Amino acid sequence: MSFEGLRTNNQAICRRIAFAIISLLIFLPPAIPIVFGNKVHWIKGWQMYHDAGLGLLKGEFAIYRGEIVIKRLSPLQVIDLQRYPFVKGISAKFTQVVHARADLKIYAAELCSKMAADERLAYAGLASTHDGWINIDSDDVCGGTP
Amino acid sequence: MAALLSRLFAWGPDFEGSTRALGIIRIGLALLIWTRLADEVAFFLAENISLVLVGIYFYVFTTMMLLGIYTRVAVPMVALVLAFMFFFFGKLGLRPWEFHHVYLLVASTALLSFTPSGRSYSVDRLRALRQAERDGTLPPVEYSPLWGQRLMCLQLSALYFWTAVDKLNWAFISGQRLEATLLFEFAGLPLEPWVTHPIFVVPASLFVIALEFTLAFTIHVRRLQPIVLPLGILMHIAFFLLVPVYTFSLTMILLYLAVLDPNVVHRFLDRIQGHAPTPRHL
Repeated sequence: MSFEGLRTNNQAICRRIAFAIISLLIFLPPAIPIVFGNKVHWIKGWQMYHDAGLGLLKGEFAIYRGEIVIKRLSPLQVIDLQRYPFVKGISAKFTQVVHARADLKIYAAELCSKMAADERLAYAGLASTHDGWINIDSDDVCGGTP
Repeated sequence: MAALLSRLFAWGPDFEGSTRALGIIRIGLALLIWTRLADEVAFFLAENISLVLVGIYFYVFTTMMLLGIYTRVAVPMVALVLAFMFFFFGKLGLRPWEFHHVYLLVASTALLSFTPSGRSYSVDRLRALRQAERDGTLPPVEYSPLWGQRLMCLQLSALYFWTAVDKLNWAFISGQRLEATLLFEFAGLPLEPWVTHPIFVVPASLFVIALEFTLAFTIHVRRLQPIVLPLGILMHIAFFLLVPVYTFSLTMILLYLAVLDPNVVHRFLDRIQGHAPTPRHL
């Protein structure tokens, strides 16, 4: 084989090796967070919108005076928002999330601080988790009891 | 086994073809990079000298990438600055750059570095043509090894495959995760009751999983491309309209150019420019 032929052959082998290595780098690292479930700081798995909408509420708050409902509020109204935060085409970080019934008290803290002593805030509805919607009904959100 | 390996090599590392599709991908990626990031590295937002340097580096090399000036240097340099912006500024939370649509731009530009994308639609091409004129030789061909382009195709498959795998859980299949996602985007808007209704979210969830798995394998099959690529484009348009994916959808649609037969793209471009395909230019 001529020198030129040998060089071409070596180039082809190098290219094939590089192709195989880069292909593995394309396919395998994204599997780590998905298959093993743990986040790896320097690896970006293709888990688009994996955490989107977590901790959101789907239900209704009600302010009671005695046993009478005096006002019904949506989850957004309770935190005095028109819509969830949105900046320059990207869903902005939303921190007022509810993962369990206990988080409702923090979520509605501002409203609770403004309510009269004889009033009670209740929530009937769900919260979004990785496993789907979970029921977190509460008869006394401000008191932190179910 | 030898025959299979031979076919695999012919498809991947030994693949050759027209570079015109790559030229268009290069220009499109540069424009998408500007759309997403250019204003955020402008000097009036630079709070420290490192951001000024990132801005200078960014603007110089993305301009060179767009115009195809010393493309073999410019594209890897853009990949490097994007990786730095994503992994350093984004991951550390210094800038909102740690998103999948930014990562897709990083990965695509990195893979474009392995291609001769400056051989078509570039200042490099113009310079090569002028040199050939001066030397009295034939114009340089727009034809080259395209193993880097094949890597871009594999990147698309990996993306579709793993994102579909990630959705294989009851919460997503039953529509609950999509409902929560759309609730975040649409709460308080007139379309909220429609896009969060089970009649929409359950079939949409199933359709997305099925289509993403299908696309992972079939985008490379030439005879299926007339069916699956339009479906993929429709899905990405739907994503763009329903959730803030920013440049993600357009980047994906642009990258579909990589899976098309590059010689067919070349002949198509000849035809729409009004002259007959000339084998020499391949």
